[in-house]
Amino acid sequence: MRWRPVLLTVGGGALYGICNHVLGAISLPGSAVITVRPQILFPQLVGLLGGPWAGLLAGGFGNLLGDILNGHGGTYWNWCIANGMLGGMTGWLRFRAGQTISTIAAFSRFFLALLGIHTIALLFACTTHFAIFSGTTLRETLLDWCLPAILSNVLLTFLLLPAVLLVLKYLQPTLEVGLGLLMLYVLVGCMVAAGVTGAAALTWTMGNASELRAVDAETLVRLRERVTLDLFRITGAAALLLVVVGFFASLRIAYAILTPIRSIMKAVDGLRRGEPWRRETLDPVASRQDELGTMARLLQDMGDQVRDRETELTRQLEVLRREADSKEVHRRVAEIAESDYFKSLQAQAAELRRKRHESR
Amino acid sequence: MRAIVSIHSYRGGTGKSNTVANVAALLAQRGRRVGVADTDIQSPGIHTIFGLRETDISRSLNDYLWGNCPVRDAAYDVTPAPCAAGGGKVFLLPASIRAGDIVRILQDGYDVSLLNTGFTELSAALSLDYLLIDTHPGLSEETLLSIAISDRLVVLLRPDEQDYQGTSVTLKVAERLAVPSLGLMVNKAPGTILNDKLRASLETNYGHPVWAMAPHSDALMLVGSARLFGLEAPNDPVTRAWQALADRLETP
Ligand SMILES: Nc1ncnc2c1ncn2[C@@H]1O[C@H](COP(=O)(O)OP(=O)(O)O)[C@@H](O)[C@H]1O
Ligand SMILES: [Mg+2]
Repeated sequence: MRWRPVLLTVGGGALYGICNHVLGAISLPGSAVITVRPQILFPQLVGLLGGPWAGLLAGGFGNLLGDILNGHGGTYWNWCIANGMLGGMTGWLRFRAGQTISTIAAFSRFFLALLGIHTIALLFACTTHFAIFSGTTLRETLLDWCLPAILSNVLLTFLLLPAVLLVLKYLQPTLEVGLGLLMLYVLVGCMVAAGVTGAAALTWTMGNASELRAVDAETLVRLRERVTLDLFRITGAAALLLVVVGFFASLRIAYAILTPIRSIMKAVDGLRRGEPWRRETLDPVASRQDELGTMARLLQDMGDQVRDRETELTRQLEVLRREADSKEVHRRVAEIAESDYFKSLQAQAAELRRKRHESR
Repeated sequence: MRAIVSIHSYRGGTGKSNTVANVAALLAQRGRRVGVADTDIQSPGIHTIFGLRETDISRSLNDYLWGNCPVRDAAYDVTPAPCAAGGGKVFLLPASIRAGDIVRILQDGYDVSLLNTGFTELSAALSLDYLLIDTHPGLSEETLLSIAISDRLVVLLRPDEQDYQGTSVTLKVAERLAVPSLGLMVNKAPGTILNDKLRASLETNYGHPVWAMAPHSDALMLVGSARLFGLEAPNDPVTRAWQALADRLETP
């Protein structure tokens, strides 16, 4: 077991570095600045499974390995630190033995925390990059570079990580988690679709608009990059905003549905374990006009019956305790036992049984 | 012969006849040869469960006790069709249903010890594995004899204060008769967790194990005593309780 974090760190870090080299940075068509890096999952997974140190080392050294393979050596050390931060901070969310995400609250907290971690790590990388290597203005660094990178990494994480966690059984397919997943995929999916159709429309328009015939090719490319970037920033930011709002909305919906179900479950469990019956705990649910209300009322009836039967049984058992060894019992037994018939029977009983067994 | 088993309840209407008949059928379904004796001569009733009509019964336990016929001639093969396949058999030794016969037995009595001889002969003649005795409620002489010759006694009771004292008396009497194996069956048990409470309380107060607990069953009540409910409804909780009792009888 002590080897697990080490294996995770080495394996995850190596995979991250190699993917960074082999896949490089895949750009979104139409914009060189917007890169798609699914390998960003590796440092996060190492953190989640191995803890902060494993995540930190896998992120930092994985990135360094990629840079070395790409011929940059240690020049961009600040990016190594940023990747280490990503893995390390994700390590705080680490799954301990037997720990899973089963409620919408935990689900929301988890993904909001990931959003925060990505933001911090990339802000650090971009600002240090600006301070050390300069080249562009701070505004450009943040808006044209940092923001698209955050959006791209976070959206990719939101789309890919739940599937991985489901496979690894860290996400439990409860109703609540199902609601969260549905919300996440519908909202992110809608915005990705909006972005993709927007980009397609843009490509088509630029290729066909007669107004643009006179514009030279280089300007056209720059214009297109500009618009694609804006489109990505707007749809991406909107997607994230919607997801954050969506988390709160689904939290509310989940509670609206689950609170009554929980109190019903609790009442059933109490009955099963023979706890004192308190029908009024179900009153709030029973006053509902929907199916849950009907269920709660049926359960109240059942609970009343069980309680009545229990009261009756308790009374009965008191009688049993009194009667089982009472004077009256002994008197009646003595009365029977005194009879001559009983005495002769008693004398013969064993003999009768023995004879029968021999005769078979 | 594995065992003579008396099934007794201190009061009538407890479900004794239904228990005897169905446990007999379930044992036959396991390939056993089972005899059923109705010693409830004053209020016989078990024959209807096996579908035997009054006109089918020409000779009864009464005739044997009066010396009219050998005991074998008063036993009827009532093996239910589903039990025959595995070689199982059920033979019924009915008590007479004729009003005159019942009055005569009540007035003149009979030589109770003949019961013992009769059971032994019947077991041998039919090579029975089990003989189940549906006893008369209370503790009359023939019931005491049935208990005395039994290898096992099952005392059936309902969770009802009227049953507690009589059950205790029966158990204490059976202890004095040194019946080798004594146990209880609860009929119309309250169900759910209440069963555990009831079982624990019965076992501590009586000092004997509870072998089976059957709940009330509306389905059984509708069938009344007209058919073998246990073969018709193998998954009913009452049938499961009878199976549990049959299991118990099968373990030495
Ligand atoms: N567990 C039960 N649930 C419902 N009805 C029952 C149950 N046990 C017995 N009965 C019904 O009670 C009646 C009396 O049963 P019976 O076997 O004749 O009792 P006994 O032989 O003790 O007098 C029958 O109609 C039977 O169907
Ligand atoms: Mg009866």
